[in-house]
Amino acid sequence: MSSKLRWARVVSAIVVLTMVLAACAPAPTPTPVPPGETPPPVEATPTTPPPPPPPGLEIKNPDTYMAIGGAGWPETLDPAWTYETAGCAMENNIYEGLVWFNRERTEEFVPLLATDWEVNETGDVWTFYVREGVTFHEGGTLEPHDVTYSLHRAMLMDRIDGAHWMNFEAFFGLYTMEDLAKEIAGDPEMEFADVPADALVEACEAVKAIAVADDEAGTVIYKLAAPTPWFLALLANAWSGMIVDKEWMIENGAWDDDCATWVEWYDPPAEETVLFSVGNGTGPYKLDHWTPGEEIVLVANENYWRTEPIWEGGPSGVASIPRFVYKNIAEWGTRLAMFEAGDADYIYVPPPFRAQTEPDAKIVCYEGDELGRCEETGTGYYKLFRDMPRPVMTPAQFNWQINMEGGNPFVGSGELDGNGIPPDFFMDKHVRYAFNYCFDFDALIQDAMSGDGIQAQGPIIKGMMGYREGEPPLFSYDPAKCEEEFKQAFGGELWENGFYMQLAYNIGNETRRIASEILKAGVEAANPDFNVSVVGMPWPVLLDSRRAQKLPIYIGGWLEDFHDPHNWVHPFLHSQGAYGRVINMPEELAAEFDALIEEAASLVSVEERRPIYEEIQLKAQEEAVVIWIYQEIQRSHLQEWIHGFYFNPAYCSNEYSYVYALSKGQ
Amino acid sequence: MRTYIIRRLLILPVLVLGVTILIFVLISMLTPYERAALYVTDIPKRQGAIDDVIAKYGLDDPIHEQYLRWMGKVVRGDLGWSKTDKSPVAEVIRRRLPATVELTLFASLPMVGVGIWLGIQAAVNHNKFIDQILRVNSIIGWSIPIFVFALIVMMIFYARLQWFPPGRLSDWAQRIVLSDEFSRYTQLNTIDSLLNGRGDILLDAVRHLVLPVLSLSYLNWALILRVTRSSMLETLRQDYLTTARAKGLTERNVVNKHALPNALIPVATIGGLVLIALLNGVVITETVFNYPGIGSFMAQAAITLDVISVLGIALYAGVVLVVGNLVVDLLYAFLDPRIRLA
Repeated sequence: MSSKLRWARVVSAIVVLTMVLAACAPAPTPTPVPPGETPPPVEATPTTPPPPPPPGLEIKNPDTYMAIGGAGWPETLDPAWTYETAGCAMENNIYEGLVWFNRERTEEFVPLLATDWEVNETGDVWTFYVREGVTFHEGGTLEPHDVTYSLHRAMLMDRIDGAHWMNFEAFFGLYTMEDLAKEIAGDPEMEFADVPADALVEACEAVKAIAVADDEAGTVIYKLAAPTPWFLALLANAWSGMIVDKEWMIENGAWDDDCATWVEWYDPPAEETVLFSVGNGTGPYKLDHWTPGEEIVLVANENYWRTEPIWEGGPSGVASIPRFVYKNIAEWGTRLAMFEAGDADYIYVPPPFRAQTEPDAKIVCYEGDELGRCEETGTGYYKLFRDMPRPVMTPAQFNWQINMEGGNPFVGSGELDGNGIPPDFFMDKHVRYAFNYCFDFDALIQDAMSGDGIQAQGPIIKGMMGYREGEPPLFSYDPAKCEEEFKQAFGGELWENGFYMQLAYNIGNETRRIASEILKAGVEAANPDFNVSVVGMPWPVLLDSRRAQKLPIYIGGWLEDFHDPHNWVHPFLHSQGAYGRVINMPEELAAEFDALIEEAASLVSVEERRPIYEEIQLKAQEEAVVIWIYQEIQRSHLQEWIHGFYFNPAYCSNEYSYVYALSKGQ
Repeated sequence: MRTYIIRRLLILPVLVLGVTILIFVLISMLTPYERAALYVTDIPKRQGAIDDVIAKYGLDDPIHEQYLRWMGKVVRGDLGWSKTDKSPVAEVIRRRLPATVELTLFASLPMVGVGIWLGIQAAVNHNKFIDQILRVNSIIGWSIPIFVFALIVMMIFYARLQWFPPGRLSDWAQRIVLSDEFSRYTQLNTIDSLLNGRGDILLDAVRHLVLPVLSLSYLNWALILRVTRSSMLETLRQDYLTTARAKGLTERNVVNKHALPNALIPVATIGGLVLIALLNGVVITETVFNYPGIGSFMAQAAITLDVISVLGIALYAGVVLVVGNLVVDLLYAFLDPRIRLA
């Protein structure tokens, strides 16, 4: 045997032996966790020090602000069609409305395309004075009729499940154009296709009547169905308030402002609207191009009308950053690499990856109650903004009357026999209380949110009118109370027989998976005969199951549409709300919530509204309508050379909804 | 030969019909509500919204009606609208195909060329040190998941060293390419930059190709190396090569002129399959390196149940498969004159 071959065999044997010894080494024994307790969160043990951050990155692309998202592309760039954050954030740069938020303040508004406004004594008629000397990107001149056309077009378009239910609610006390047309036709139950032509025309005219322009006087007058305290917040939204050039739109094939033809433009597919991938607003940025799947590029509007700062110390004139590039890159490693290389100015960092990036934060700015307090860490290379309470809330919604028709895989036997749950399982208040006490809120916030969450107190988020300041949430993790409630449920039968149910979550959503596992652990710890199976499902399957009202519990989320407690209590608790209508509360209780919500919405003053919302907040907890889990706390990660960032929870995206306010430089 | 080619191409419509019918059969197992999820990406805000979506897009029409409706458009050149990419499906394929072709072109030479050369070296130096090293390397290459390799090389060579960025072009180059001063001929950035006389853009485009090509090559070298090695070893044992050596031919001539052509037939099969796979898009590589090719589009369309996009991609993949296999068959005839294409 040659010596080389002998050496090769020796080396191979040593390698194999090493691998075998490593595999056979005893694994560390985990500390046993007493029954009923949640295992403590596992702290990551770094085995090697993190690599040194790139020292003193030079500013790449000084004329470009590059934002890398991770949650998707816009559906469209037409503000009348949009009802998601990616599209809305782009449109906030291209289009403008009559008013805008005063920097970080959600309840103060500054004039934008209006110079002033007034409201009548009863609070249902608003008059706006439209700014002169404003030019659209394609050259047209802003006039009051552009303002009204924009709203009329948007409401008449009213695409399926779009944003205009908010406008129809404010102007008509209804929710859709279809509702309006049927009401005028005299039969709310009829099919839309059967609505007579004259009723359709009349419906259009009714829409036109709610917003009237006077080009001579330079005004636009809005007539609401009832005083709407959140009306300015609606106008500050992309989908309600963004203004387009009427003449240009009609020239390019949009609705011709004729009530005889509006149905031709009703509920179009996103790609069939004029503004799908084309922009023509008055905003500080113009759309340069949108290459689907690759990038959206906006360039500064060289003819931007603003000569005075929008707020004290705010921007004016042409945008200081000439280009804004948006990319959506789903792969986390790629986003991080671009950030470390200095190519990206902002990247989206999901909560599970924050621990990986945040040792490299050079400057940490704390928002919350003390705006803009910043500290230098002495190392790192980027700026971290933290403690920003997002207007996003996640509940675990109970289904109080589960649909069993055609079989239901989520409820086992469908009986209280230990192998399933009955359809009215969550009708029993003790069951709802037990589930709330069994849920370890702190574990979820620490494990899944890296501490970036606030336990919810009810449907209304912290800082908003109706939130009961100083009062803790009614429920906290309490295994003893959990057990006590379960023992009382169904007259003791539940405790004796046990139960089985499935808990479904949306595959890909790690936070909801962890929440499901935590709930399962808490419930099962109460009684060995309690069995909860956590099932991940693709969104299409989950959507279908939820629609069919077969899910016993659904962990979802709500991002506010406009900054007012009405947009929290209505979706969650009103019988017509996105969540409220599938909770299936008993009629009496549902009617109580509806009455409170509608009463609060009908009042104008904060002094009158506040106690009602606080009452709703408390009642929602006392009835344990759902498990009010958590409100998100946001963090934003931007390069050190980006300046001017602030946090406004009403923005579609704080990092790129208003690039005009940012600047780039050392 | 011509008859053979035509006969092979005639398989294409049959293949397309079969694949698309199969996809529609699979789709029919989804409920209309599940298919509506493509259009309803969040909980509906009002009652009946999902039913309206189903009615609007005909998702509850009989499956054969949906198929005929789709096929009717295809015959007119309309592959439908991609909700995933927000463009017509035909345009998505047209826009992303050059990126995939460019990656395939640049990956094929190192992958196939170097893989074959390494396989030859391993065979010619059978059981020697170099053979052992190459065999171990091929095992390692085959064992490391491509996404792990890709992320590691990106962190090292891009995040740290900033040598080879992801994507197709840097922002400054992209601006020039999209401007009026740059003419597009092939949509391949490397070739177009040459034709436009822009060496700086050519260099930038090549820089962006390095890491995806390296990732793909490292995985596929392993396969091609091993197939070439096995085939060469078998061929080198043939009697006619003994005769060739006895006639006084140099070893180089024996290997390259006499052994290699015969050894390449199985390699042609594997290499052809690899290239067909590249042309169908490499999902992981494209995803990690943010490379806008067919693969990443295909993955996104599948995840979101974008049936129309999936059907369009199936059509494209069918064409690639048939044409690719035809090219491989023609290559056989070129490599081995004994093979007659009847």
